[in-house]
Amino acid sequence: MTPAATGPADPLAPVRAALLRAAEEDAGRLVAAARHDAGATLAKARAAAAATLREARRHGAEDGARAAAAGVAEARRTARARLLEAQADAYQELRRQVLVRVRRYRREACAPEVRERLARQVYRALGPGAAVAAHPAGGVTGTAPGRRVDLTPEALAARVLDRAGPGVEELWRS
Amino acid sequence: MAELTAAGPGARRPAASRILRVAGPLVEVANTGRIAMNDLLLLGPAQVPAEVVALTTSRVTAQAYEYTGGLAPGQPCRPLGHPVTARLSPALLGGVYDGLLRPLATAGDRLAPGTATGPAPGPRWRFTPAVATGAQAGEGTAIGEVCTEGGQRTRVLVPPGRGGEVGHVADPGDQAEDAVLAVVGGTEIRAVTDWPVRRPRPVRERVPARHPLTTGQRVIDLLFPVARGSTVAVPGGFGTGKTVLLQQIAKWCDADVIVYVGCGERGNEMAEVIADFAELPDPRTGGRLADRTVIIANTSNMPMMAREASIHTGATVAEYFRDTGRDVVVIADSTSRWAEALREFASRTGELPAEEGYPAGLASALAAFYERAGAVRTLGAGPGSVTVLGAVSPPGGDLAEPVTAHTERCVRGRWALDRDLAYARHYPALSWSQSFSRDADVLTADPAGRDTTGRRAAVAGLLAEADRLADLVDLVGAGALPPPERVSVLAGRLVREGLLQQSALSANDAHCTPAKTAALADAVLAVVARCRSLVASGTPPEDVERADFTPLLRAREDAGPDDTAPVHAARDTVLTALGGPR
Amino acid sequence: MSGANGPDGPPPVTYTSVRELRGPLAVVTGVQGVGWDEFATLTLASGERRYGVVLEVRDDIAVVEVLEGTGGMDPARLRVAFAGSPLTVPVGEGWLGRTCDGRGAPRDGGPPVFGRESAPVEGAAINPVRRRPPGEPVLTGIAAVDALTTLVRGQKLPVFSAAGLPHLELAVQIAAQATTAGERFSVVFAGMGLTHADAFAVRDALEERAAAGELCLLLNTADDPVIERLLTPRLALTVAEHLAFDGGRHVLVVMTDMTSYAEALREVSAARGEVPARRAYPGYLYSDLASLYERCGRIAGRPGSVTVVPVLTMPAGDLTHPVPDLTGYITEGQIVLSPEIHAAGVYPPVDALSSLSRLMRRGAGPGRTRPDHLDVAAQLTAALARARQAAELAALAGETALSPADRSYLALYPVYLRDFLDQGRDRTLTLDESLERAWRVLLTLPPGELGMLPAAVVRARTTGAAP
Repeated sequence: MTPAATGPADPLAPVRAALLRAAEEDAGRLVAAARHDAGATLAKARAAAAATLREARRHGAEDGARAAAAGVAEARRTARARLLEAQADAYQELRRQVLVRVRRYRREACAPEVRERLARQVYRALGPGAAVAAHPAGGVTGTAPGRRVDLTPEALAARVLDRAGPGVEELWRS
Repeated sequence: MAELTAAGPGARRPAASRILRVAGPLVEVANTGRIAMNDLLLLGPAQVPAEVVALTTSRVTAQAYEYTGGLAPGQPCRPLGHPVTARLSPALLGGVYDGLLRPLATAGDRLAPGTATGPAPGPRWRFTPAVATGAQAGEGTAIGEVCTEGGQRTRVLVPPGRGGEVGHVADPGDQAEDAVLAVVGGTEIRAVTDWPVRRPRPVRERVPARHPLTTGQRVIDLLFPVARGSTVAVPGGFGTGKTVLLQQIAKWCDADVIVYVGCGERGNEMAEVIADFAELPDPRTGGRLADRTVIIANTSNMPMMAREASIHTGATVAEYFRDTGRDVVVIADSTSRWAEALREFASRTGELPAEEGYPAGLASALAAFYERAGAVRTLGAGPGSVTVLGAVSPPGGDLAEPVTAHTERCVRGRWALDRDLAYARHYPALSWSQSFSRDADVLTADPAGRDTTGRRAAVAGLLAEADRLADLVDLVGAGALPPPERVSVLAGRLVREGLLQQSALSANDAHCTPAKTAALADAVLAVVARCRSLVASGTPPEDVERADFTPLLRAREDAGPDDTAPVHAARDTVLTALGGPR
Repeated sequence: MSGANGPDGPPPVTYTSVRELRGPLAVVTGVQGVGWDEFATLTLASGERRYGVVLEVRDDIAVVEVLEGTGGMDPARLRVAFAGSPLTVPVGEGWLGRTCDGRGAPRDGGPPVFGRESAPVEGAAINPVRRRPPGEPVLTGIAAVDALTTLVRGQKLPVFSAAGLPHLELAVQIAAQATTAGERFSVVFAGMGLTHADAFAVRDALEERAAAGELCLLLNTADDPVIERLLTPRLALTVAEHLAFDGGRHVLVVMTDMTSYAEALREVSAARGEVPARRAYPGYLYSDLASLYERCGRIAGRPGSVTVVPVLTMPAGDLTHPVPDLTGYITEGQIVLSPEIHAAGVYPPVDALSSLSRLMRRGAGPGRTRPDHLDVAAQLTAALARARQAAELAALAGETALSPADRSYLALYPVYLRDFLDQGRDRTLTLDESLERAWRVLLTLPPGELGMLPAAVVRARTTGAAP
């Protein structure tokens, strides 16, 4: 997983790392199941194709061979589509779980010293005139005319996920 | 980027500024005073170079020479207080540079903005003084010469506008690149000198261009010759072999220095040019061709605005070597891509467009470039010349389009390449009906003193006659023509295939000396004359047409570049086979 | 798709001060430190996200061009975030086996594409001094291409076609069949302005290659945003460059249809109010096309290569139209499709006489393909030229006016169409098979007409012995 996204001052980094790890395990299980499924589909298609082919040979028709090949191609397409779908589900599931769990850390994110540090980041981005508001879900938001900074746990987690690319990919690489 | 930041003598020192607006290569900065037109600016943290193109009391408009992605208002801008300058040096020979004359050999695999590097550690060279302390030396006087490792000798001159008593001269022997080699009238003189690229280097006087440049291409040297110091436009659509022809000239013409400006052309092609020049021997010196060549490579995907500068940079390098007493050829491929850069920038600055979106100043910009050519007496009173060959890539092969049309008004020659000839695999595909040379009238003799006018007129006459008959032949067939005309049709074929065609891939015939050109032309003329007299005395034209002309047609391939004996032998074989008139 | 906002940078500021929406442009005020060509994400009130690039920055105003257009946007409820850098995309093997839209979002039901690194889509020019001239062939399995206009690794060789001709089929067939003699090979296929029917057909035909993990398919359909069409080839080339120069693969990039791309460029240029040049295309069309095509090549000291095959339709078959004309100035030859040959029912309808691979000598012949390759190609091309002349003469003066040699050339042409050119859409020919087909055509001529081929080889062939 990529390192924390907002630098050494980021108070939520260890929290996020822990929950991402937990989510990864679930996602891994999801993809493994899909891969198993896909393998079974493909094996079934190959068997069907072999049968078609045997049948065709008996009739001496070339069409049969083509139909068998088409059948395998179709099955391969289906299997691939399922696998990709499973990967997408795993990724969505990861995002959902991360956000769910982030909400559980609301208490930490409401701690005054955390809010203090986040407020300093707001002033850095928007200038000293910015208005800082504590967010009920934890963290803060900052506003200045025409500009806005969102430092709630959900926004932070979303940003981490957006950049978590190669780590997420590990879910289905093995 | 040492060569870009070098301040010339008397440089102004404008205060630091900041960026106000960025729209592609067009950047506006605050005018902090003492910034002049054409000054160089360095923009943003990446120090992207840019040139001032417009000024008001509050704002300065500049065109950036590199990609401006990420540049933002408020970022710093450093005005350098001097215009875009080329660092001219004898060490340029054999090198490959970008449009701002920054060496590419020391840059990385990819040319990202801000990654351009300064020059490699300066070479050392051997200095031989030519003046003594206490002597008087005016502008352009050679105070000595340096000899590079490649064996090239280049004179070191008192810069324009300077001169006086020689206060100090360095000892002969090894010197560092930037060593002071002499002090003249209080000015330190080095072998390396800076010059603003848009200002032509001064000369004592221009002289008429009267000496031929031998290009090694028969169709040019024979029919459309070019004088040293002249200008030629080479228009041709894609696939007509324009670049191959120009490369052949760069390789084989008898100039002292070639400045090859690849301006908005193909990267793979530049790679080949670079590799070829490094490998091929120079037939005149025995050294490498690269040692007499300066390559300025600004391929079509490199920044467009540096493409605009590359033409001027090339001309400045050429003038520098001209001033050291050399005959220089600038090959610009292609000036159309340069004109497109002008158009692109004019459109960004909101200039009123003229024809096809080109700025109204296109004609004068083209004229100013071609006027940098010329045969001259240098400030040091010696001869020198700059010849400019400019490729033109007319869109859709349309010779009436603005760049082609304006170029033709300011050049002395046109070598038009023809798609039909290229399609028929007739190379060089130079059209004899569409090309012209205004130098032909003064170039009445080749370098060996042989008269050329008669031969030229005879060959041109045969081609014109054959062309006139070609349409007729298509309609009624050659067999229906009267006998003399049938010989004319035959003559056209012999001239085209035996004389004008020349393969760039041939070991023997890629280039051709004036002696071989003359021998081939005379051989073809002699054979045609014999055919005419045979037919005139009653030989049936079929018999003449059936004769075996193969030896004559193969002579150009069989004879070496400077070989005339096989040509004479081929002529005699064919004449014997034809027999005499009854 | 993202910008490269560094992990240690300040938290991203979202701007809510959109002053004006006009055509595809959004004018954002009060911005600080936003650079030109920076990538932007726009969030609508509905939560929908759109993307854009900064077209101009002036003082504290940024003009953003929105890829998907500004339709349905309410400036009062729009939030704009800037990426801090020009557009970058993740690069790496994650793209292989995937089908995405023109800006890299999945179209295959899979998750987003990730990569360990990201690279700017704009790319950076290869230093001409560091280029290795193209060499070695890419074999397409198409006889007319492999035998007569050999595609060379690092080359850019366009297919010139016209409406109604099977250029898409040919492009897909090349993408499906091409190989580099056992070396690691991948294909990046960029479809621009395709109909949905075509997009389905492309996807189906390339399924096998995708399943093998050798293909990245980027499909921009005709109803996708026009500006996205400008992004598609850049994305494809960025992915390809990384697979080639960092991954050591030989990568073939097929881009079709470049005429749709150029039309998108014209449309966007007009919307920006730029001064038009020929036929209302922007004056920078040449440089823009070159910035795509020139990304092919090989780099000294690195394995891998990028070979580019752009496909373009010539409006009304006009070769002087700006798109084919400017393409021809940039590319290294062309493969031309002929309506006449297509009408004769021959596939692929390649017009061998108008087609040319300028770099063929670098990719074919002794030590590269087969010793007789260049001679066979030269002889067959010459024979076709003679056949055409003979046909013209026969049309004027009648077949009886032809010499016996001319008659043999006239007879060669139908054999050429049937036994050499016509190979069908599913058939992959090895180079040997292609050259043998060429020989079969040539041997219909009298041996005396085969002057470009070594006499001994011709003798061996005509007497039935192996060469």
